[in-house]
Amino acid sequence: MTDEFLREARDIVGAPHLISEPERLLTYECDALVHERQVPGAVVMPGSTAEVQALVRLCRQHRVPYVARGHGTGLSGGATPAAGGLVIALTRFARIVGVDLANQRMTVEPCVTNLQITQRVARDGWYYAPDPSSQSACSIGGNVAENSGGAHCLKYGFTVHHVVAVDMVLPSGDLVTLGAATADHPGPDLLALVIGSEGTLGIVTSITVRILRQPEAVDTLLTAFDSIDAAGTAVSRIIGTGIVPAAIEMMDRLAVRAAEAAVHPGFPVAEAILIVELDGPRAEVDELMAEVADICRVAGATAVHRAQNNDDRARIWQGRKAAFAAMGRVSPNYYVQDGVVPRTRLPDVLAKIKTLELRSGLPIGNVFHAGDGNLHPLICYDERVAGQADLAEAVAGEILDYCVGAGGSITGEHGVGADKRCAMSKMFSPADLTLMTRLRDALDPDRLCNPDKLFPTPRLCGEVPGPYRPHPLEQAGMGERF
Amino acid sequence: MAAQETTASIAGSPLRDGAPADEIQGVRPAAVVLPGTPEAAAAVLAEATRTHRSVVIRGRGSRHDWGRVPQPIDLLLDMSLMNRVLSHEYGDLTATIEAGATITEVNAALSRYGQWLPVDAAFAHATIGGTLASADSGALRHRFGTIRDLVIGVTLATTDGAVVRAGGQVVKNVAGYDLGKLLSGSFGSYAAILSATFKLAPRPGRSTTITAEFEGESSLDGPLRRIMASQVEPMAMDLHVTCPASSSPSVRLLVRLASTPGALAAQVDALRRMLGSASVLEETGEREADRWNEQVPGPWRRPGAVLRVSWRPSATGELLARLRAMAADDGVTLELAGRAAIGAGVLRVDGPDAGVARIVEQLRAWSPAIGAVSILRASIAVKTHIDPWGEVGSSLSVARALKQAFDPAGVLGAGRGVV
Repeated sequence: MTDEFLREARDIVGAPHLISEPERLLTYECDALVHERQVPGAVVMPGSTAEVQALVRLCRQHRVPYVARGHGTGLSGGATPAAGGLVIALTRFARIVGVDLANQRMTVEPCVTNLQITQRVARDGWYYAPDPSSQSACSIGGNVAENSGGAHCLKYGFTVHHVVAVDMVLPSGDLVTLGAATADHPGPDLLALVIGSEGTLGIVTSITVRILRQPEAVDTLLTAFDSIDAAGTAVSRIIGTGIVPAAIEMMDRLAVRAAEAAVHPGFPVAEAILIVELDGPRAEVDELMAEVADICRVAGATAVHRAQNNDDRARIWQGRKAAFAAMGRVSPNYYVQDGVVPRTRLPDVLAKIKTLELRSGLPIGNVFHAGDGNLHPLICYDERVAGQADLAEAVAGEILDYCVGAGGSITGEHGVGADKRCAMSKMFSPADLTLMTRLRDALDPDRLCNPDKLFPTPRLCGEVPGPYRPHPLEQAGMGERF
Repeated sequence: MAAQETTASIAGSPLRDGAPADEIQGVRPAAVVLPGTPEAAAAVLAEATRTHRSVVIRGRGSRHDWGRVPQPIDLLLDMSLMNRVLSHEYGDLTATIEAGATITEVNAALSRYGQWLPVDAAFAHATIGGTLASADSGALRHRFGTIRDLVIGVTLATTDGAVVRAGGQVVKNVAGYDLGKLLSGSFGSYAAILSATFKLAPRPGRSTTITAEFEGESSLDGPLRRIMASQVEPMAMDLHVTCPASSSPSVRLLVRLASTPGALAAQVDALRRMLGSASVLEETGEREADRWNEQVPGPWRRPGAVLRVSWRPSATGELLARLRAMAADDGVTLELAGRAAIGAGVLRVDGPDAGVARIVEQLRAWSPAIGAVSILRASIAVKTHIDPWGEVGSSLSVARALKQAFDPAGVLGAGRGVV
């Protein structure tokens, strides 16, 4: 990054909004995937869309790679900077621009948090449906990049089902609006391509979401089982009867123990606990919840507890949502995996994970969205023990092989980012990846917009061994190989 | 004229001459090719690209008259041989279906396990591929979204001859670009959809439809607002409005409720209270099915142009008042059938071409209450006079850049779609 570039960037955003001091840059070297780190060349905090456009044009002119950043809670390294690149932190884009209850729309800037959207309209009886566990901290812009889901996506879908329009600065610097507040915008669904594209196609500066009326009733059932298989049987039977719960979550013994140690939700001691939530009209929820409780009992539930009130319900969810962080109570380090299997393949894949746990010697806790087969194995290790960190990573990789082998996915909600770019070829053929790369290049021919994410490259993934060729950044003196 | 049997072929797929029945808005394709496998379809596209022949993709031709009047068509890629349900993973509530299968056939097959693909078919032979490519939708959209919201994976044939997959077989998956959804509304101009995997739904147990008749558009406003702000959860909620040129309009609200037996009764009561003084009809079973079969496919069976229109639900009352005024001023009959809470549907305009054109222009000028106005079915004269897609806005440059990446030789779509 040249002095001239820095000077021009400072002219665009103003001196207080540019960070180039090495110690302050360290804050931006990673997102919540902490083992993937790169110190950026500079961080800018633009205050308007026009400034974002000017910065993108400047990067293009100087061939400087850039990444947009929200609140840095991503779990796949989607916001990890390129070495020596520019971080465009959207921190100042934190306003709620408009609320239109009559048309069930709300327009917000990308650094508004997911939860702030719901909070803004909750008193009037409305909410924003996608609810990732990090919803109090994660930015809606990051949700758009990752197509975030959450525990309730089983019934309500993902970000792509709830965002109706975005303004986006293209890698050319041009500003476009994709989608519309009203329905049926003509042409290919470009918005759906951008949602979940992990920041590789542009920088979103405004987002219009659909908000929903709160359901009349929300009921949560906490049940315990002697085995994961029995809990899995209950899940299959619930779905098999035609009930579509708002959420079905499962936690195994180790995950329950960790959650108890951290937030004391009062979960029963069991091999597996199952949380089933139903929502909708009161009478419907009452009828169906009785049916769900019966199904659980018949499947061998050792405890069936229907949340008595909102506090009780919040306590159950706190135990579930705290499960990742709680792992720190039972293990010095842990690796969170995010794979998906077709729901009916859960028993086989969990059995394989059990075998892997025994073989590797690393305890594996399981927390998962049982309704849609999204697994979150938590692989426990101790980085002070030589080789355990690498072993944990290898174990995590093997679990992805099981998922893909069962017809599933390498990521259900955390994204590919920097973390899984090399695993993409487990799931997609060279032809699939070539087309996706061609589409990316159509919008970002210089490959500066969040480069080296999402797609495997021979340089990073080593599938195509060849003679060493310096990366343009190395040639330009902007980065070096470690 | 019956299809000619010939021994000709292209890239290994049988080829026949285009017949009058193959014509698309007066343009007869030079030849029709029927590939039977993904690889065969991809080979046809590669050959067409190599030889610079323009290609239009057809399912069963239900919507062949939609979109712009096509440029000359060298090849009609007919997907009707690829019409199987490739897998129905009922335990996972997913199915993978070839593009040429019709929604009606598919739902007959899926019903064996009490499941369905909750997508309306306005046409008896509407195919999976055609519905996705045209972004068509109906009343079920209120609860289930459009077909784009249900597609979780796709297999495409691209113009370089590749068979490409995106998405997957599981409902929850964020790996790679979501090309299945991108192709929604692409009108065959990016790639050929070969098959797609969908999230399914359990078939609803019991359902009832309440049809309320209103005295003019102003009496609809209050009930509509009350229902939208309520916690009643309909499966569908539609408007049906007819404005004849020379008599008073008819305004109806159709609300379909589906739930467990006890809960259904409670919802029906709640809904009746919100409807106030409107005259109300409650229908179940075959009568209910007939009601919806009239509501969604109905406008297409009657003469006239058909527009796809979106509007702000808060402007519904005003929209209906304008429709009534326009019908009288322009001497046309207008019929609106659409989703009341979403603000999306079709508007049939029965009258002379000049009247159709004026209606389109007036609606397009009424921003922001009106979103998009696309001309689906209309005379060639209307479509050559006014662009069926209208002003697409800044996203057009993105759509074009992607078109260039998908189809650098520009062989797909014959200009029918937006790009």
